Amino acid sequence: MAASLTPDRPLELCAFWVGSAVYAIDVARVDEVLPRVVPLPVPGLPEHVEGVVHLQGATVPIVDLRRLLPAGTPPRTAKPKVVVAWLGRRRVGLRVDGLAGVQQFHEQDVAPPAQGEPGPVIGAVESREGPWRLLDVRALLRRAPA
Amino acid sequence: MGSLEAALAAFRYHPEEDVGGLIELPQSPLEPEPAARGEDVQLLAFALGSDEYAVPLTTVTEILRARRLTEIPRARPPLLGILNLRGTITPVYDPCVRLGRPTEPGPRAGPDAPPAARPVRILVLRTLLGPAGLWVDRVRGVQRVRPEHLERPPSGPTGGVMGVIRQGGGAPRTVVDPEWLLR
Amino acid sequence: MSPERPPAEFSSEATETAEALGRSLLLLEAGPEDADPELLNAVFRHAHSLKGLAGTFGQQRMAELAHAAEDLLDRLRLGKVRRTRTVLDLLLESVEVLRRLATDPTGPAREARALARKLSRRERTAQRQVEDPLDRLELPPDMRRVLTEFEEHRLRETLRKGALVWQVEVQYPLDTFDQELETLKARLHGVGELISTLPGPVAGSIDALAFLLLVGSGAGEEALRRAFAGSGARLRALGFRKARAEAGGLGVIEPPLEGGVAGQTLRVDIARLDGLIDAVGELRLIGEAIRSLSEARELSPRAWAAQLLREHRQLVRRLDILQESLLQARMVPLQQLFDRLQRLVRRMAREAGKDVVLEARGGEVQLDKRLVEELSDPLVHLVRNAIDHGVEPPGLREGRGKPRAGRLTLGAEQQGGRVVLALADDGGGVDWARVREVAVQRGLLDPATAEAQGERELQAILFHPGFSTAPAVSALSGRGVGLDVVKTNIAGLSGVIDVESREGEGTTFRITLPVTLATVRGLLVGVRGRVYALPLSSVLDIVAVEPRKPGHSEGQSTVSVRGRAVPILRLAEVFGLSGHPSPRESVVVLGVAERRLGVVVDSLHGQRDLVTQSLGPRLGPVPGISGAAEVGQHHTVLVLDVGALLEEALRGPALLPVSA
Repeated sequence: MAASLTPDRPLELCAFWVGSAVYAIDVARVDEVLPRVVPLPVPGLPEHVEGVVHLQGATVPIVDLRRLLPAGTPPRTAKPKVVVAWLGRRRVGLRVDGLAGVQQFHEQDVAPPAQGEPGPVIGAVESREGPWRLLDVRALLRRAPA
Repeated sequence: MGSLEAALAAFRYHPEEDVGGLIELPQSPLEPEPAARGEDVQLLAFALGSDEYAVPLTTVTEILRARRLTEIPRARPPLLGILNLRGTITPVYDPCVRLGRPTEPGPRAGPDAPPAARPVRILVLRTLLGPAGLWVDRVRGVQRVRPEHLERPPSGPTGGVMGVIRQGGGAPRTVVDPEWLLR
Repeated sequence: MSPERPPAEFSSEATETAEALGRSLLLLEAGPEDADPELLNAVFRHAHSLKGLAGTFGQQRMAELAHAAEDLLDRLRLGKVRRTRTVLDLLLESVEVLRRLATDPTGPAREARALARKLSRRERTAQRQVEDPLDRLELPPDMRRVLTEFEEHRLRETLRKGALVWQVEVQYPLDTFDQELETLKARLHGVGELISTLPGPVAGSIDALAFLLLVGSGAGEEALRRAFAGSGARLRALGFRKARAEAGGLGVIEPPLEGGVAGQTLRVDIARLDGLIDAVGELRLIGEAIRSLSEARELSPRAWAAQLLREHRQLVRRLDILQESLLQARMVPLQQLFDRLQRLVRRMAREAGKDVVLEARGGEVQLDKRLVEELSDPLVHLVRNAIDHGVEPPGLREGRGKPRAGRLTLGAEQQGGRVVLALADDGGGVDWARVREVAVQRGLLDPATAEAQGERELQAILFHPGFSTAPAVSALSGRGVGLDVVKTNIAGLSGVIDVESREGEGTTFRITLPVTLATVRGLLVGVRGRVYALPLSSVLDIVAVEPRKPGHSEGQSTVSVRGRAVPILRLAEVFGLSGHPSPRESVVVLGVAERRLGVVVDSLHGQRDLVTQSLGPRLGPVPGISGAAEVGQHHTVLVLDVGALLEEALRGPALLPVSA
């Protein structure tokens, strides 16, 4: 039983493929999903940031999650997408290999991360299709090489 | 507080959450970082009349010889016409209009269009809205420039102009943002 | 760390309802096998209220269990499940647990979950009494997917008569395969039935096409082999899968509906295939001509070059035609997708315990195969939505004065450069009040301004990720993905989706897609040196115009066609085209519904099958133009939008001229 103060509290997750694993973030972070995007390259940005796009007047950086998480081959039915997610009051585009779904869980469904999971993975849930790793995007970006 | 609990709290979204130092973006995409990493910027240089311009090389997908465009009735500048590129309809524009410089009057598509001058090329650029073509008078070629040689406009980005390059004693070359140019 | 206690009023009401449920179940048990329908309805209603109550107070586990019980009870009262000892025991056990959950939500947690699972398994195995015999036939899922409804019906009939289904692999020569198939049908007469003709698993040789035939026959192997004698065919009877054990799995195997890698075959009309083969034949002729040219020593170099050029032109023309035909072969009618959905609707309705009928129109609209595949997922989801949440259970429908069977209407229409797909149900409509409620609950709406939000704003919320009005995730609503994924899928095709709903009457989802590839039979016309295409389906008549007399007024605004005055539109003027009119103009009379318009053109250039392309997202709508098509090398013509031209003739130019 996971140690959570509010075991019944709903936790709605949006999941996506990065390589052969499925990661999930709080669905409240998801602003929209773009089917294809060509970022404008900007000199001086770190490796994992492909560039920026303009969405409704705002500048949104596109981060290639495939460079920050262990690789692998995504399933053939996955279609690459960009998940535009809120971090604080800014939006960031996360390039992923494909969407895996949205499902509601409860906090008690979260199992602590297995040994050897990268730091930003804070736990996992068992979805109808398999394990989804809960990804703390902020932690992931904090550790990324500048 | 259990560690999982704290982790879950951080995992959930709050508009006021701390995002300091996560992604430092330059002021605007048109303003490269002052302390740029010394990477050369690659440009595709071209001429419009007697003026020199360039766009980031990464946005150029193809360079075509001028060919007959299909006219769009009642089209207004800067749209010159359309091309069918291997099954995709690609609109072609006159960059002079957006750049506020004089341009040739007269159609460049349809039966009344005069044949184009030999050096004329169509730059096919990649944009958020799909491919678009730019009608240019002459292509100069690929130019590599060190970031410090790109002079940014003193008062910040001015409508699509990323900067000016003054090198080698030639005419100054204005570097433009294709998204702005083709908006 | 004690869990929250539910509010007192919930506990008391829940306990009361659970007890009422228990009492009526006991009455049911004591009564005759042929139970009083009123009693059955009462039992069902109690379970239903309990589910609703639990959902409202966020009592997940109770809602889940009550939901499972409700489903089973629904099937019981609809006569789809027999009232056996086991069923009753399970239900009574559930009531016990529900009573305990009413006051102690986390107490019997594990039992509740296990019971819910048992109940739904019970409900599913009970389903197998209405099993489809076709499901047990050893038919590979991707083959099953491409069968038409009629073919499925014929296969079922074959099985019902006790006959076997044979799979035959055979090759026929390119030139004569259609005759061979006819001969085969004749030979099979009295022995069996040729039910389906599919592409063979192994590619044929250069001169032959490989087929895989499905033949129904009760005549035995000998007779069948005789019918195929001399053709080198390989025959194999299809066997049957063993019935699945009651281990709790689904008794029905649902073939996956996604396109993906498995769906890489294409069914092509035989006539179209013939056309392609003819085209290849003509190319061979040109090849011959070029070869004999290489041996022609009597020609002067100039004559030789001229001849070569002529053959080259022919070659290019034939290749263009071949390419176009192949592109068109990629076009598949939506009917394929509609047929699949038909089968799905039957299954889903059965699972949901509802009666639903799907009517589809516009299946003849053709789209690129890939587009049709991509539409499959979103449409399946919308259909599921309509069946699960849109259409009410038959009892409720009768109570509302509606026919027992819910009606889903699926329609497709091609409008210029767009295709509009609409899925309508005649169910209860979207409960906007509930949408508002849930939106506020999930923080998507500010409670202060929630009331003020109109249907348009609430629509946006409906498509927002993480929004779902189902209090408990329905076992039938699939993988828990919502309308937001449908919207994303449609956006991935550059389309849009919107919803219209009338309370108590139904909901309509409308998908609008820009079509990048569509075929149109076009009439090519010339105006001031430019060539345009008019969709032939809108052309009613072509009338020659009196040759201009000098001084003849330009003001003529109608022309008389078969005694009817038809307004005319001069394209050259409307489009602002420079140049001189031809002395011999024609008027092409176009018609849409009741309206008529004559378009004045300088010249006519015949009919062509055109593969049209959309003008792309940059240009936006161009007034009067619906798309572009390629005719010949590097020559792109614009396809005129008849509807828009009609509007323009009536009202004057509607939109501002196009710039960027």
